[in-house]
Amino acid sequence: MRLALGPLLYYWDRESIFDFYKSIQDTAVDIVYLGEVVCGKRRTMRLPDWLQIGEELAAAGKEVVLSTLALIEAESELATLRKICANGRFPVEANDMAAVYALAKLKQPFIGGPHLNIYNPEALAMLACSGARRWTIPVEMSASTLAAIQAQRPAQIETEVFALGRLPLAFSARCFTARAHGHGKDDCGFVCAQYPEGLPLYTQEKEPFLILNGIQTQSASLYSLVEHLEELEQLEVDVVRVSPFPGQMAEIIELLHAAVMDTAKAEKTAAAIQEHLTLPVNDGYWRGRPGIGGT
Amino acid sequence: MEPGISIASRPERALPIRVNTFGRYAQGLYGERVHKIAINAGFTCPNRDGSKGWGGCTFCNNRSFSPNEHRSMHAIVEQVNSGRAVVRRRTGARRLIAYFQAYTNTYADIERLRALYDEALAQPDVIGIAIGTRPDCVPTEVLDLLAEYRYRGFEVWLELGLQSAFDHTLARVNRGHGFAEYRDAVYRARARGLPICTHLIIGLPGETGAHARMSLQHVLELGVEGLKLHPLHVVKNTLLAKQWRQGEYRPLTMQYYAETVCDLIELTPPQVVFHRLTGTAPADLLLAPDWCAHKWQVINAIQCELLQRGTHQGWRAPPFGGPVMNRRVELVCPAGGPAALRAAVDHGADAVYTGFRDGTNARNFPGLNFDTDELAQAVDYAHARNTKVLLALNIYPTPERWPAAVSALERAAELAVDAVILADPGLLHYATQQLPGLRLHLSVQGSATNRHAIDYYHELFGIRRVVLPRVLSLAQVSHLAEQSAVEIEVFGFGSLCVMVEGRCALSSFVTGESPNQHGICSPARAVRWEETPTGRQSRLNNVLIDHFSTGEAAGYPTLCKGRFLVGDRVFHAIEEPTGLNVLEILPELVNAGVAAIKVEGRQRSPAYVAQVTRTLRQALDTCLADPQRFRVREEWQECLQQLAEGHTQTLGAYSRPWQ
Repeated sequence: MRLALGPLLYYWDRESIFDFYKSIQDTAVDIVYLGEVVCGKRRTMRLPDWLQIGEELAAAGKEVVLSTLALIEAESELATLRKICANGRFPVEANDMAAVYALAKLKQPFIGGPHLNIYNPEALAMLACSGARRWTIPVEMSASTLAAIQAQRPAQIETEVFALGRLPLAFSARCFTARAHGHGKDDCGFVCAQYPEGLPLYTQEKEPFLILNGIQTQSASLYSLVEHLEELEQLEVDVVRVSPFPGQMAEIIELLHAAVMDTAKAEKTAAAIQEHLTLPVNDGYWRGRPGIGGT
Repeated sequence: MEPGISIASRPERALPIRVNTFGRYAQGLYGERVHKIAINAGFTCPNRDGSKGWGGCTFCNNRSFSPNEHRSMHAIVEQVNSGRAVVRRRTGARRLIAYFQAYTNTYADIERLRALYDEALAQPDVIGIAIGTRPDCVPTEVLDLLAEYRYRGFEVWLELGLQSAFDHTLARVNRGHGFAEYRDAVYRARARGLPICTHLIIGLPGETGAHARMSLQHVLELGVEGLKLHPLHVVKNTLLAKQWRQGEYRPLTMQYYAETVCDLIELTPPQVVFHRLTGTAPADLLLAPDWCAHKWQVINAIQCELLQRGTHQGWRAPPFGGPVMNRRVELVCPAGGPAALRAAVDHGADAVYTGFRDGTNARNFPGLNFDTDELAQAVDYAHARNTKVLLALNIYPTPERWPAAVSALERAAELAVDAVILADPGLLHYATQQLPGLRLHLSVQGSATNRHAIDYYHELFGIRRVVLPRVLSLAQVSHLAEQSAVEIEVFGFGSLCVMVEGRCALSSFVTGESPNQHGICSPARAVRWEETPTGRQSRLNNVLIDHFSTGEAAGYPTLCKGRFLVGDRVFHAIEEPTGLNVLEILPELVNAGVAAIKVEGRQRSPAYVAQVTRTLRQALDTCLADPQRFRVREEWQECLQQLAEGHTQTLGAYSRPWQ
């Protein structure tokens, strides 16, 4: 199995983003997803900036993928999407059928992201027909459902699993970070930039529950399949994704890479990773239970 | 005149502003120029060799339609190469469409066609094919083959030479087919999601501009994605040439042609693509009219005419142009069970939507929905009262649930429901393959919020309608209604989903059951109510959703509508318990050209359905009668207010400030 670093989902300043990906260059991660997935209004990073980071990562031996928006409404967002799809340098992760459409038209092989809602081999075959060479399972998919799909997976399509990070649970037209500040989306003032790790939402019993990240809602706890890496390998999963979250990402990537390389020792590594995590973990989805549940 | 544009010098730059030309369409889709190169694959025509007729059409010397016939003796690869070189030199275009133009390009056995098309598509820079043919010469296996190319992402156009919708004209020019063959070809191509470009000739013997306008109306009513217009030209070695010499046929003037073309442009909905507005013939063949030899003069005349009129494409198109189910706005009402279905039908719904009681749709609630017999009776009841029945089958089935979903789909088709509402690409594909002719609507769960996503489902599966997620503003809805080749259905009343439908896993995160996989959100079995000294509180699988102080009305704990702690404030951090109500913007939705307005609430009682249906029926009828003078009546608003979730209402995402 190869290890991928998912797209950065929070809104950081340019310098922090460049620094972050510099720190990734020397890690053991195989694949790096770059680009804005959450909000079309976030514009400190333009396509040339991402391409520049991509070139540096490619020079460091990483496979680079450009990610695209999960919710596309405006013509301007479609125009940006088409530009990314036609970049001519790096493959693209489609997070909406608009991207699948644009990439199929360009005959560009692509990676299907976790928001495309592929739940059965028939749908996967359609995605493969449109040019997908890899797909990412929906985050709520259980191990047993994945096993059934893998058994009938079309030839030549790889499978990627979101395996460590805060779960990207929902998207909305409404910006919840702006709402918490009493703003509408149109005059959001980019308040999400004030929350480089997202804005926590607690129940009235002060239990950490969700993270508000602009128009996206994430789980407060981390989804972690570290203990299940051996099972992932048995299911012939090709790529394991870690999504950037608050913590020592470079160290966590190193530990996770070691675990992926030697899944038999994953239990031991899981404990080591756990020491590095400052957040509680869950794996209910993988077990076919409520996602919030942990081991 | 548009500012900053010199029409006389660069007509080709000004035209796309007023007309959805192929150039504009391709630029919008691919972000760069796309050029067609004509391929002559050495076909003949069944109207020449005796299988449909002899001698061909009276106006046809096919060499006049094939400017590059000198290439015809060469292999396709050479034709593409030489075409590519010319196109790149002249226009700079790098992407090409192989246009099989001369004669009838589906007139061969399927294996030969596949080999020829494959060869063209295998050439570098070729992103698609356009196949010119006769409407009576498109066997189903050819359509399947073209549909397969579309699945693979190629741009595919089926170009049907209709020329006129009048059978007597077609007979007069020895065309060998009538309008019925065209209609049949269109139905079969549409069932496979193939875009059709129809050719019309202006100035056929016995026809005037009025005939061309009526032919266009017939074509638009059946639904079409593209149009090609040609003047009839008289070329050597044709029967028409003889008739012209004998004074039996008089060609059009250029001005008359330009005026007729502009009429057709104005009558055509804005999303239809004009592939061509005029045609030329080689000088050594052309007899009349002489202006046909000068393509840019003709284009210029059309452009000047449009500028003088100050009009553009769609100027005179019917308000709900395009291939619509019927030319009004449908009221689509929820039917969670037989009693609610009767309530909706009796109180004026144009269509009701239902589901099977097998967990295959997004209202998988205990006690709701229909078994097969109940649905059969419901379909009879509704159809007898001229009401359509739409069946929601909008979960994303996992392999475990696939057989149930397929069974539901097949039973729906057997019961002759008017459409099925699907979200899953696997099921959509199954329907197109196994149940052709079944009308497909893309569910709101399909998360199609932009025109490319809608195009994806339209081109791949031939969906006829899309239900838009409740996240778009009114301006965005209007834009989609204008741009989209399929009908647009929007939510008008009922509970408000604040997340993009199909993109929300909050319910499964907390309860294990989600709308996508299980057709349910915040299921009742996970709800627990608790009385505490400070009031009632609601839990969903033990997660505290809300706390109500004594005397405060307590709503159902839909988890996005609870009160949570963010920063130092406890509030409805995601959304208040409030209902959607679009009465206020009904005229705008009607004018935008939406095809249907949907009422949420299959989980609601028959009494609720009756009241909402009756009220919205009145409002919609009032609005359709005169959108300009529409005013919301107080009694409507009072009735709906009583019924709304939390007894409060909002325009939701239609209004930007809400977002």
